[in-house]
Amino acid sequence: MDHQLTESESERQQQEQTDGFDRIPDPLILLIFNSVSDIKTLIRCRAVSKRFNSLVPQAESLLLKVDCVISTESDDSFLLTFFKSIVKSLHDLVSPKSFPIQTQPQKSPAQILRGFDRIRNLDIELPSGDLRLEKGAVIRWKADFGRTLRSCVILGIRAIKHSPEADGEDGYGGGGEIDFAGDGAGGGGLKMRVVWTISALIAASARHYMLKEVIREHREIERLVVRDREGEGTVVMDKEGLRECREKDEEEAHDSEGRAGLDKSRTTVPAVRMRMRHEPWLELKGGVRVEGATLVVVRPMSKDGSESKGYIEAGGGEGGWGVRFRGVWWGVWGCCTSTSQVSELPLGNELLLVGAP
Amino acid sequence: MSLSPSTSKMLSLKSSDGKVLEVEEHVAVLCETIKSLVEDGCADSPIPLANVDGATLGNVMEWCKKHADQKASADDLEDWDAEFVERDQGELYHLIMAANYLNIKGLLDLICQKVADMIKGKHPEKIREIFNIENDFTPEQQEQIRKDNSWAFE
Repeated sequence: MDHQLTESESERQQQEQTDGFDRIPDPLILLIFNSVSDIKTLIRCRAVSKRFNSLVPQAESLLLKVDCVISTESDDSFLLTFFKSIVKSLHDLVSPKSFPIQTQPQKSPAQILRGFDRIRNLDIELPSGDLRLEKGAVIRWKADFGRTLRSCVILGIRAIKHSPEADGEDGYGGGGEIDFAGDGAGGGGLKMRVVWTISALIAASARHYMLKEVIREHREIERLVVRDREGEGTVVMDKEGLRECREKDEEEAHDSEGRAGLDKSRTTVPAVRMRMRHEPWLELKGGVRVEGATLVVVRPMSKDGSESKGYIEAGGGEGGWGVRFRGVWWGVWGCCTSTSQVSELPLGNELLLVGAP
Repeated sequence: MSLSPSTSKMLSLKSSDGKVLEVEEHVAVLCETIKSLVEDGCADSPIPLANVDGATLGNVMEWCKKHADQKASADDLEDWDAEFVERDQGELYHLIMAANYLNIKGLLDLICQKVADMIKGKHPEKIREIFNIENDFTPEQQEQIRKDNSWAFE
């Protein structure tokens, strides 16, 4: 009996050993690493075994979570520069968030990413959004970049209130009236909306600028997204945008002599045309009342001064913007507040402005 | 007679340990490997699958059957998949190898994600323990890796 037990025990152990994950072939380990994608975990995997150590740098799909703002003396700490630029730029407009500064040596994203040489998809997640909004306000933006801004969609809501009884009135009040008084209670606040828009554009171009080093060093990247843990803003670059950016970068490298010392900490935004839509308040199903809702669509103007044509896609299921923007802009609102009532929202295509003549 | 899925053609699959499994063709062709055999007209005799044992083949076909079901909603499949991967790592190992051999992308992605989730956030010691991987570094090499990447080991 004892003997049998021992035998089955050793059989079981042998079975376990032959089933060991260390026998999975390299291409499958890489598939698993791509599913892990979190760079911190992957770096830890390097310390598991020599084989893992040699495979980790080949991972193609990566997520870099930036935990803190980096404070080193080296020039590589572009994140700090980036935050500084925001502080400077927004000084007179909105008060920036305070940011934690780590004193121990940290690596910049570019330094960390040097450990990988086959990146195709890269997601960078910043610890927080860049704008300090008044309490209750929600802002979401998504910007598409090539060498410079290609489009930006900004959605802001001043407050969301839950009123238990529906007052029987129609969906929205006022309809695009503009409150020039600015900061009056309950008012839309044109000034505030302009501040939102400019702040979002500054944040977007600062994020784009901080990517340059990574884009230059990793010519293999095909898709690049920078978002933040709060879901405030997303910068997206596709394959075409990345190619355009690298070409421009090389041109600039050629004729950069004589321009050294130029203080540049974000990408210059081209001449743009903005379309802003504002609703002082909106009554949504389920007794939800949204106040001061603003949608801004920003597109660069082409050389002859006309606005570039075509739809902006804020969707594609990335970064929490689950719907195609072609629909109603309240669909976007539904997404940015994680409600599932997108299709039930009260307003129709009358508010569709993107691509309208 | 109509050709509904329930009356579709049956295929015989023979596992590495000699077990023969009868599977509806529309289910089995979720395996790209089997699909190309069917398309080339080579699927008449029992199809030998030298790299998949009987138990694993049964599991794989269970997954294929669920995913071939047109009536299953996306939510339903997601819940079902989450339960499907609740297995010990021996079974997961065999499934990942089989999904790769039979070329079933959906199943391969599912298992890879499951294994990835087992690794996420873990320290090297724990990862070695879970996957029964031998540490072949010298203490010095080990220390060097940790030193070079100290931020990731906090």
